[in-house]
Amino acid sequence: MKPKTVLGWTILLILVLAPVAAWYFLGPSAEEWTDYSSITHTLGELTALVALTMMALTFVLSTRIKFIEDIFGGLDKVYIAHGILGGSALIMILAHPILLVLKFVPSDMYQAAVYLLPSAYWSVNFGIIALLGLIGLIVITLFTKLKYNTWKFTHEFLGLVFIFALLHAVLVRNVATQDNIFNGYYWYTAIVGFIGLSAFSYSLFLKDRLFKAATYTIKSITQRSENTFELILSAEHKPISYRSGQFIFVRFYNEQLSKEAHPFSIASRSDSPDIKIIVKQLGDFTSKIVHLRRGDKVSVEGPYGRFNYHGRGKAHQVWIAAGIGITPFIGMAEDIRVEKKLENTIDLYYAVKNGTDFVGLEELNAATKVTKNFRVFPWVTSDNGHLTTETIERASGGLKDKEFYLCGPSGFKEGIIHNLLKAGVAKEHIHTEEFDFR
Amino acid sequence: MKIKGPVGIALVIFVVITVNIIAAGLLQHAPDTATVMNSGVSIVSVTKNKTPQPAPVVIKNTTSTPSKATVTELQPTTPTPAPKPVRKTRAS
Repeated sequence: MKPKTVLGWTILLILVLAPVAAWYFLGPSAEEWTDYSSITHTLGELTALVALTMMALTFVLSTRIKFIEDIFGGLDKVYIAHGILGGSALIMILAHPILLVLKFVPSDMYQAAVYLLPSAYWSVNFGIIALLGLIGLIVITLFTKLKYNTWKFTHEFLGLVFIFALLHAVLVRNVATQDNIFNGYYWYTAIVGFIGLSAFSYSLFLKDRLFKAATYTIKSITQRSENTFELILSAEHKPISYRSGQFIFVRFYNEQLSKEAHPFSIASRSDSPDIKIIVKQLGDFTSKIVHLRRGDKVSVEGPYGRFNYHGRGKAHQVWIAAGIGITPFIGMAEDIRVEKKLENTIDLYYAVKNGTDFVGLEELNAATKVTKNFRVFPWVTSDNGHLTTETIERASGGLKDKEFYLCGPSGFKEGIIHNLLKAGVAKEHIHTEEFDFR
Repeated sequence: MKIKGPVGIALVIFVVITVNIIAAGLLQHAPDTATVMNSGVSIVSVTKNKTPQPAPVVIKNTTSTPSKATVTELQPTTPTPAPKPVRKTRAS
């Protein structure tokens, strides 16, 4: 994990453990919770408060606010944290009712059963609705393959789940609990609720209104391979400023395509007035890319990401791409071509399944012509087998003291990273770009 | 996503525990009756091992002060002499 990502996770951990700290410093004295019943009850309440805090933080992480991206060292890392936090919130919330009923087990199983079922108390039922809602929506996210826009629509109901959880947290204390987990409980719940609901409302309703995305039009559409298309986007007003290797969220205004924004790597050189993106027909949305026409309007939000080869000193760099993962490297190669100089050595390994799948070899080869320090190693897996770290080690002269940049399908990346770590490459020398934000 | 596995395990554990608790609790509290079909004509409900329940004990507030008349009626009476203990002998 990079130092920046560590910083982000440390902050998250501190915030998530805030209710535990509040209970420790502001809660009842130790004598009041030494019996089995009090311990399980306290743990049950704490898991719920930790889960509520985690939910609020997942909303904050999904706002795409710049300073959060800075803390984590890239928006892709922010979304990874968002996913892990969301899943952890569900695990915590699952423990909440189980821990609460443990005080009835096994002496009064009927009471334990009644505790878990809907009752006349709506404050309790709000909690059951929130629990079932969270289970349903997280299961949809993690275990189903819904169409992206359908999934995104379901994901927006998490705000409603959060409201039910808040109602439960505030109202249930008059019904089900006699104790006071810590002084200031209502204040804590109100603050968490305010932060969570503000972040959620900002993402869903306010962001697009407050911060207008830049408007571009499609200048050209070119088919680069059997199922890959290159789009050149031209700014209607002021173009956005970006560095090669970053990515943008693009919303296409075309009747055939759904209106939600999708992330795409920038494949053009830094701060080029026109933005080049390369789209492979992989999913339900990208398969409709053929319906786009020249002159279609698009909105561009960003740039995001920290995937760039600059700022690593003179270390020998190894870029490893698979399939459509080549796109950020095309932009970086364009930078090399324009700058016409490269102080360090960069080797690019580009793996595709079949020879016809290569995209952007022209741009890559153009960069190799301006400097000998940039080398490209195309690799066809159907002919040569999988690209391995041994191959890279032989061609680039060892793996030690090199900076590695990876982009491609997750299975490919995980395999390469595993072998690099096994070969003794330190984690901080491996840089990756994630695209699966779901 | 790496959280997929832990979430899956937690969900399975949650479902197993919850279903077990609810099933055990509801079975424990199920009405102690058995329905018997009688010659296919009518359904008769037969109570098994029905133990008569004691009537609830009502504890009344007895802290009220007795009236003067009552006090005069409750005069101490001459105590009945206690029966003399019978000493058992070896011979008896």
